[in-house]
Amino acid sequence: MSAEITITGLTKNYGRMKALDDITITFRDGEFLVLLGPSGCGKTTLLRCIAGLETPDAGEIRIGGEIVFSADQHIFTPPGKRNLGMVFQSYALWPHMTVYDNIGFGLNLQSIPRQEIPARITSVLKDLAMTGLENRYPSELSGGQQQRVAVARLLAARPQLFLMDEPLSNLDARLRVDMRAELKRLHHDIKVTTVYVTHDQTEALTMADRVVIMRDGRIMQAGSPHEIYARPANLFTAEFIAMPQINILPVVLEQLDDGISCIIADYQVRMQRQLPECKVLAAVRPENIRIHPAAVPGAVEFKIYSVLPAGPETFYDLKRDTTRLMVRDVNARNLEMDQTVWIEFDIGTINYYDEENGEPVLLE
Amino acid sequence: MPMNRRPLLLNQLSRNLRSPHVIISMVLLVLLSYLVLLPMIELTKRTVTWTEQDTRISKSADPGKLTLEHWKGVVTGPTARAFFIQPLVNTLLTGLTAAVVALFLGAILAWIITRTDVPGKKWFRSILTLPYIIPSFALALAWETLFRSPRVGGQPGFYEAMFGVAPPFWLSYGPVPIIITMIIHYFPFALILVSGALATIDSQLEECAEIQGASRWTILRKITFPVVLPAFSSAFILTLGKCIGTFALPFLLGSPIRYYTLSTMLFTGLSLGFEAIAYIIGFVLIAMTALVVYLSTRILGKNLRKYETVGGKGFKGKPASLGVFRWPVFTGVAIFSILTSIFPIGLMLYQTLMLVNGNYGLDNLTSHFWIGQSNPEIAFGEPGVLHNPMILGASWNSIKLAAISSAICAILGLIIAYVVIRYNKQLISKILDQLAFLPFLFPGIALCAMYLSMFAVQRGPIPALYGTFTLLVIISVVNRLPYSVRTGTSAITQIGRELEEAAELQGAGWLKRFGKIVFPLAASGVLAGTMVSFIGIMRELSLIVMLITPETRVLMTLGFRYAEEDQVQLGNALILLVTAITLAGELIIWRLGKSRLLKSTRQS
Amino acid sequence: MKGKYVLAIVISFFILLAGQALAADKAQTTWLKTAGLGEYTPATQDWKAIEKAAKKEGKVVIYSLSSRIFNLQEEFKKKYGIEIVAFDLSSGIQLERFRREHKAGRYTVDVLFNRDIPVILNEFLPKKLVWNFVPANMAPLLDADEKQPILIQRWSSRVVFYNQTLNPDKPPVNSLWDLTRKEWEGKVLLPDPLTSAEDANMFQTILQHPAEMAASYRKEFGNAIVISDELKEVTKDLGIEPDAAKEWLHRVLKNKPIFIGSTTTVFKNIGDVKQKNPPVGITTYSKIRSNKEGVLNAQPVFDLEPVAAVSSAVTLLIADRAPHPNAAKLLIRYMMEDGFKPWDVQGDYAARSDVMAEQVSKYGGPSFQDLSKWIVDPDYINDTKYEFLQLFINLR
Repeated sequence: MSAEITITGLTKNYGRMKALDDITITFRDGEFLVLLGPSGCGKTTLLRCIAGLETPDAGEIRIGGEIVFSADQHIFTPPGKRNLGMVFQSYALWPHMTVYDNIGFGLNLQSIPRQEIPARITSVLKDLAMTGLENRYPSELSGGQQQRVAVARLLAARPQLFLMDEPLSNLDARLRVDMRAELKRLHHDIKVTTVYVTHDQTEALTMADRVVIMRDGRIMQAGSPHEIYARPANLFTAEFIAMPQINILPVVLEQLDDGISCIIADYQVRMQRQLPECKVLAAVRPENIRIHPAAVPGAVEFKIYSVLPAGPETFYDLKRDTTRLMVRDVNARNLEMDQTVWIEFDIGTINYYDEENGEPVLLE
Repeated sequence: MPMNRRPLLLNQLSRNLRSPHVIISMVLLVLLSYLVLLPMIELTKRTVTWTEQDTRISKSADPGKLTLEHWKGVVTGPTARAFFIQPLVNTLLTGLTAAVVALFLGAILAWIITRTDVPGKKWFRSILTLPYIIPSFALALAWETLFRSPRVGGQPGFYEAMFGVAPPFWLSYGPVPIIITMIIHYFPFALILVSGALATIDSQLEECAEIQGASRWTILRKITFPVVLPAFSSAFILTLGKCIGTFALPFLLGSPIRYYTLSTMLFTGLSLGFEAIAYIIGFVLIAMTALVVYLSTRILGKNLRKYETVGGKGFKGKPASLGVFRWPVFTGVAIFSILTSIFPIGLMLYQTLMLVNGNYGLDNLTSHFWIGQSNPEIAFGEPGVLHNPMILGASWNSIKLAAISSAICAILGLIIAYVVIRYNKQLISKILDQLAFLPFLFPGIALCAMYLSMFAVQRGPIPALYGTFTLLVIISVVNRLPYSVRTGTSAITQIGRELEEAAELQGAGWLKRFGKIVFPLAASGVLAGTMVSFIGIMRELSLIVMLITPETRVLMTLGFRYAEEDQVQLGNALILLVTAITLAGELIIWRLGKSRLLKSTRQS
Repeated sequence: MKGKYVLAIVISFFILLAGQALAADKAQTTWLKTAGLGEYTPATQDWKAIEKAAKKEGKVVIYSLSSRIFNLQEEFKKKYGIEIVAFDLSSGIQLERFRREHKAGRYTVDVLFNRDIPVILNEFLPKKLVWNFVPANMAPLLDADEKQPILIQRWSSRVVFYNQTLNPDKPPVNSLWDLTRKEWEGKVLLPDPLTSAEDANMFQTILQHPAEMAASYRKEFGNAIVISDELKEVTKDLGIEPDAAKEWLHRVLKNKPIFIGSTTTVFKNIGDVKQKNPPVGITTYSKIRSNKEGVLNAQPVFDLEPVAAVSSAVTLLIADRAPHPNAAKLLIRYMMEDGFKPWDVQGDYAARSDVMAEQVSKYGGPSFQDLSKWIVDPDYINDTKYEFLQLFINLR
């Protein structure tokens, strides 16, 4: 069982602050959707509104076609009636209950035949490789185990919607990677619509079917991880999704007879376009810059300021006057600091934005 | 859309009315309005009304009419200094000094016995609460026995008998003994309140700082202290409020040399039939405490949620190691315990064994006051306390009253605290919070007087409760409510909200969440609160003195009567009986809670 | 919006409460008729009928200033089969409690055993909260002022005590003015007038007699008294006249007396024979019953200037709307007859002349008539209580 979520015009204020500002979006049935954004962007508030833990001020939420919240129609379905489950950042395991009781608590409240409950708990624990820990208290478990209990608690109730609020942020790096894989597999197996909140872009890109990037209570972009990465809808998204960072470079534009000349870090490109009226910035990902140890026609000369090897790839921090560039190179070429190199841009991959408002500008 | 307005309002209202916390808040609001607000209004009204007896103050007094003359007489004019200002200064001097020192001692001791590996912690915990269990008037009498000045005549005091010289007079009467006895009486109160909070701190917080190279003192100052600050400050407020409202200590140790405080002036007003004076002073006491509370909430209130220390991950309470200081600290605490706790009780016990009070010789020992049969030659024919059927009945009443009231009070306090904390943005929660705190400001004797008139007759659905045990329970619960709300608040504050949300998502209704999640997790804090209430009710006197009937007689009223009649031995025997019963009760409450709690929180 | 509803609920709740106040004057008349009190007092007292009705009532509730009331329970029950339900309450608390109960229409008490005569005469009697009842057989044995306006059971007195064992020849003081002397500085024990109306009454009665105090000053010191500036300053502030009696109070207070609430404690501290430098002090005469060979020996100073004692009455009254009026009458008579025993002690003078005569021969000491004393004047006490309170706390 799974459900589509439709959110229309959702607004939530905390005093003067707009935590959610007229949010409209649909989460598709069975989708693994990640809400991504810096802290205070409203992603957790949105999740809590869906859960019913917060009451929005305006708008409507439907889960599986059923209205669970509508300001106009004065509908508010309490969280327990929305048939959803949630994993909290702190796991919210009840410290005075055993693992078994933690999982069984919600089941006892549902109209599940009593005799089925033990079997369900056992099977969930087995699925998560937790067999034998039934009678432990949360304080007797490791962080990873606690996390699994929280997931088990969610699974056992078999809700139509999974909500996860930064569930992996309290785990160490290794465990986090493992759990990502497990959660993704879990989702793949049971195909329940999942809304997952995180501020970690790697987590978002690795796990999501679709990523929703939020800022100041508004959705900046919603799209597949690839779309988000390749075609950021605005400067904010471009800068936010950066691995490890994106090069934002001023573009010098000049009207020519047969188009425009576009100079990015002294690298000139000609385009058949109208000269835009605004100041333009170019967003260039490090992997979209080619680096040459020897001079190449048209290429611009830079000096290597710093070399940052990262296993299979190497990042070069380049410098030319005041301009700095981050370049990613997958060829092990062992270039050295202070060495002179020449670079070219993959023009087709560059996104341009209006410096004033961060909106995209179409150039190529 | 004007068409839409009506259903919107109705809908919202009905939704609000259906949501459990609103219903609970409403019920509590009505209850507290009647039990707390009404007496408060009544008291205020009385400060501005002429009464029948006031014809003695002014010929122009017109009973029943409103007047400001009382206020003018007390707080302005030539008599203001004596009526009001001097007592106010004395109250502040003794109260503040005592509260600060009591809190300081209480906090240090609390830390030692909850967070360190000092030997004999359990014993200290019990022993150090003794001075709070002993009624304050008994403590004052013990002080008088100890530091009796030869100026008052009679048998020499213990000090003089031991050292052969008279104690300095300022040690017998006046601010110094008042402050010292207040400290002795109230430091356990601070200790209990602070240790409740200390016990729930995750020691990882401290360990974390330790790893980062912080010294023990830095940890205490920078980690432990800020985390317990809310509990700390509420402990201070409660202690201060207790100190400035204390009657028996300034009455017995100050009044003899005409050192008056506000509470003794209040008593004077009631004793001489000048109600208005009493109520004005009561009003001032209320206002003073209210001011302290207001200031502290201004400073602390907003940060309450910062201090959730029980997350959803369970916590560990590993004691800190004192290292080489383990035994020196033990010795210090032991000496302190003996001086403040064991010695007064030992002295009282010794007194109960003296045939003639004040003669410390061994030939003067007798067991008469405990197990003797009635002998007209001794104590006007009163039999020993263990043979006295009146005393046995009173013991049962005391136990019943303290047990029932403290249990009701703890649960009610937790519910109020819950509503107040979880819905702290809503007006109704704020009102509730204030209402529940009001009785704290109310001098016991004044509340007692108001209740007498309120419950003497049937009013609407509320039957005449006067003379019933129920009324004693009600007034005890109301009197202790501020404390149980405070302990409830500390307990609730430390339970992460998401623990409840997780249950809510699974469809657990309010009652279920409260019963299965909040209550069990708050239980240890609430239990500590119940204990404090149990002790408080056990030895409460002024609150119930006018409501007692022969059938509902409790130990304290009997004990006070003996003390009044200078039947020191019988009075002390009763006080010791109260102490013993209280300790037993405390032990049972601990046992009840321990078995369950330890399992979930102390295993690692 | 929610606030409005809350407000409405709270307001309607209070309206409901306010509507409860009721008055019932007629009920009092009806009660008086059945109880045979006030204007419905029958010409003769039919004790057979009273006793019969009392037995039917089965019990009697008394507010007693003395815990010795409990000593009567057993015998009264044996004699009449009626249970005494006794509340041991001090005079002030008794009246306070009764006042509130009566106002609330809760009539539970039958007899008040009380000594706050000023308040009773000035408030309770005129407001018809209590009723006087004099058993017919007692009338001939009582003085006129011991029957009307209220029945007096006994007279209790405050006197100055000294330790006789350590002062075997004569009392160390012979005048109230001695208490102001340097040699008694810090060695005088006084009852606390601020916490007991009765003790305030005692001080007020002394203040009522400035001329006598002035005369005794002259007798003690040989010259006329000079009012101190300190007193003048205080009396000026309070708008009252300074006089010798107030000057006495002023000087006594300056002499650092110690105020002790318990009369027993005062007595024991003075009378303890195993001390070297005993204090003197004022306390209840009847405490003399605690004297014990070789332990306590305090005696009153009978030969004291200007008077040896300040005396006040203890009264027995029937409470308005008493639920057991006949049992109340029976108990009052009993407490004047056999039931007087617990209070038949030296220092408490029975109002009954025959009993008092016995007391004098039994205990020694002067008869009540011979005791030099001031009797507490209810009206004066009542009118000057506030003034006294002001004076007392303003004198440093």
